[in-house]
Order: sequence, then structure tokens, then C-alpha cells
Amino acid sequence: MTGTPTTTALALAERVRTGQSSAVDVVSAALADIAARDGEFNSVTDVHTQRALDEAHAVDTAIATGADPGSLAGVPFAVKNLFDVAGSRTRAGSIIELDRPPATTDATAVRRLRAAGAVVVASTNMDEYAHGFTTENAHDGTTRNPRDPRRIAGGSSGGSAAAVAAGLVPLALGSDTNGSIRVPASLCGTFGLKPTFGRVSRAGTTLFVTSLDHVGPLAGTVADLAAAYDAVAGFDPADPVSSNLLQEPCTPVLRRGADGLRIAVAGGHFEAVADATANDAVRRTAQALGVDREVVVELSRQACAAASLITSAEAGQRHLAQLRARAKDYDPAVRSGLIAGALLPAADYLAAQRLRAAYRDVVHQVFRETDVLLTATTPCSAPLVGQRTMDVRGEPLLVGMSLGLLAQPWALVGLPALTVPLTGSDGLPIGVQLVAAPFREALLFRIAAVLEQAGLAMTAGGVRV
Amino acid sequence: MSTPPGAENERLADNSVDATIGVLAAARRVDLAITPDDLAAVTAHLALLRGFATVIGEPDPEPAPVYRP
Repeated sequence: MTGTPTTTALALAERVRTGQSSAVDVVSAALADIAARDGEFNSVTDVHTQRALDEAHAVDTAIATGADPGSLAGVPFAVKNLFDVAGSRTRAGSIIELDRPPATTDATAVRRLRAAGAVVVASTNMDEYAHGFTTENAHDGTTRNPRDPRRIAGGSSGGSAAAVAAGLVPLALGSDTNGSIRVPASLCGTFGLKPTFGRVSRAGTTLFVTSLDHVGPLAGTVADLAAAYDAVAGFDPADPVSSNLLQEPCTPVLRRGADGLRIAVAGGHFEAVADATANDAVRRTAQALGVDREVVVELSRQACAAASLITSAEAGQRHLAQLRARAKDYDPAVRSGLIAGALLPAADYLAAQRLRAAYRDVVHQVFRETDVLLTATTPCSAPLVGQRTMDVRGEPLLVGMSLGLLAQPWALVGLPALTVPLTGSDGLPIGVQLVAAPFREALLFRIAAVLEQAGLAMTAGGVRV
Repeated sequence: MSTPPGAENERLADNSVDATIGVLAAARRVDLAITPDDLAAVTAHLALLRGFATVIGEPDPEPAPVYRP
């Protein structure tokens, strides 16, 4: 079946559920496609062949016996290689983790996708320990952007975004601390969601920054993204920060439209650190939605600084014992950042936490009068592999540290943010970010669906199974 | 990870001798060895981070980050 026209996750599931394809055939085709085509992108680090075929067979058996195989029956998906997949080593992009025994259970998010019938086929490349925005991994190599392999995929969930954009899988999971789902989704041209902090369980993942880490899906269509989010969201007692607030399913709201929603463009910082291509994408999105209101969210530049300090301090502390014992086994660029974080004065960390509290109050005030904010997701489209600085409105910014400048503030205060892929005026993908108040993911999905239906969103690679 | 925009990056990456000595002293306090190969990169990175603290300034003590049992 390899080579047939593009197929979404939900279309695949429908074929499996109705007996037009078997789950084993679908998963086999995905495995063959990864083997045949991923050499160009290097998005995948581990292929779970036997396990995937066994799970696919179980889905087919369920269908044969009349059981409900789930909304994502037989859909192959990939996970960033910091998610536990039972039977495999969870490496988090590191060689140090090779010493760990294989995981004995699946991460909660993996288990929930499996419960919906989906089949995990691969783990994907990432920046070591999620520390970075480029997926130029010293151990596993660089993941290349399927839209232009001369360019980076972004990071740190770069392998997951590239696998979806290339059409190797229709769905993937990533993690987002300062933008690590949204940045690669923007650069590769996929949809990506960082849910509200605590909405999707992180149990069974290798954490990077405890107070900032989020788990979320990437997909080629809004409906696939919503199906994956609905499957993984919800309370999990195994994650200490998991929220037990009632979850609103997002699939049912996709046809509800955006009428009546109070939408505004975020100006100030969010315009100042976006280049002409990124700001043009926001302008086109606002135009499509009939939005002419702009809101300046005060303290956003300081929020980026606070997020960086908290990230560095918490990650440095988390790795301190391991840095003492095995420093030479780290990616050199990651090692220096972690060491610096471990040396930060407590006063700086606490000042960052105070700023975080103040920024939360500012943001919540904004969302009393606004339902959804629009910003670019990244300051620019994908830089070239190995490029050190990027020019944004005449300012040279460090690629490895600045691609998250528009994503960081929302992660700092745990807001849901969904990135919609547009084709930029430079011909490359560029994301537009939709941001809402905590636990208002459904609003983001409504607007994303409107933009997709209006033809504004670019299409992903489409799986070939 | 991120950094304040533009030329500020370079200003913040002050790789002075004093800064290097400070890094070594801080590393000793947490029982962490830094190789000569890493010293410059760590010093520059820490200078960037201290620069972020400058960007934040002195936030109002309220609202303070609190522990809620």
C-alpha cells in the first residue's frame, strides 16, 4: 500500500475500523516507509518493529471479535525518545541513559493513545535532555527539515515534527518546556499543541524542568490533533502536577466556528522579535479571522528572561549529580548550559519566580477581556543546519537560544498554545500561535479549524500507508 | 532556553577574567569540576544567565512565589 495518496490519522482509523485495511497492513506500511525514507531526515532513533506488529495484530483481533478498537484504531504514531515505551530504553537523546534498563511500562500518554487503538512504531530524535531548539544532537545526529533538508527541523521535539511533516506517521508526541513542541511544528509545518500545564500527564517521561515541562501532540490536521489530545488529556495520579479539573473534549467543537470569540493580536514583544515573514503570517491570520484589535502583554520580554533562568536553574540542579560523575558523556553544548545553570545564585532564581507570579497576574488580566491571542510561533522560518545566528529585524539572535522567544512566555505561566502551520512569504513553513486562558484548549481548536477550513494552513506530508 | 534580543547578547557574554574566577569559585561550592575546555563556554553561558537577571530587575516582592500545601 505504500505510495498511495496522503492519509490522515482519522481516515486511517476509519479504514481499519471498517475492514478496508488491517491494522497489521497499515503498521507494516509505516514501518517500511520509515526504513525507506527516514535516511534523508534522521527523524527516528528507535523503531519498535515487533512490538508494533504485535499491537496491530491485537487491534485486528479486537475488530474480528466485535470489540471497539478505539477512535485511533491501527494509527501508527511516534514519540520523542524521552517517553517510556515498554521494552525499550528511554534515552532522552543521551548516551548516558543507555545504561538504564529498558522501560517496563509505557508513559501515560503512550498508554492512553494505545487505549484508543493507536500503535507506537518509533521513538524520535531530540536535543539531548530536551535542552535546545535545533535537534542537532551530538550522539544521534541532526534531524533535517522535510520541507527543505538543508534546514533544521527545530527542537527539541524535532524528530517528532519532522516525522509528521514527512508523512512517516500522522501523529507524534513531544514535550514542550520553552516551546519544544511549537518551535519544530512551526519550522516543519505541522500543527502542534502545548496544553495547559497539568492537563496531559508527564508520568513516564524524562523530565527536563519540573515546573515548566508539558506533554502534547503534533499532527498534520486539526482533527487529528484534537483526536490525539482528547485521547491523552485528563487526570493522572502518577503525575504530581496533573489537574483533576473536568476535561472538555475538543473533537466535538471543531465545527463550532469562531463567531463571538474575542480575538486579538499580541503586539509589543511578540511583534518586535518576529521578522517580516512571521509578522506577515500573523497579519494574514488576523485578516482571515476579521481581527483588527491588538493587545500588548506587559512584562513579556522579562518573562522570557525568567523562563530561561528557571529552566537553567532547575535543569542544572536536576543534572548536578550526573554532571559530577559523567560530565564528559554529555553533548558539549548541553553540558556547558547545565553547568552554568547549576551555578546560578538562588537570588536570580527567586527573582525569576517573582516575575513569573507577576506575569501570571498580567496575563490573566488580559484574558478577562480576550479569549484568544495571536502571535507568530517562531521569530522566523527554519534556519540552515549549522547556522549560529539568525537575523530578525536587523538583530543577530543566537539560533540555539532564541527560537523560543515567542513561545516561552506562555509556557512560563502554563497557558495552552496551539501552532497552526502557514506557508510563509519566503516559501517556508511558519507557525501562527493561538493562545488562551488555562484549560481553554477548545477555543484554540475552534479557531484552528476555521483557519484550516479557510485554506490558510499548509498541509503536512501525509502518510503513505 | 532563550536570550534577550540583539546586541544585548554580546554585552551580556562578558568573558572577563573576574567572571572566570567567579565561575571556578561557584563550581567549587557545589563540588563540580570544570575542565579547561568547558571553562570559556560555561563562563559565557553564566554571564548570559546573569544578564537575564538584569533584564528582570528587582520584581515587586508581591506576589511572592509561595508553597501551597
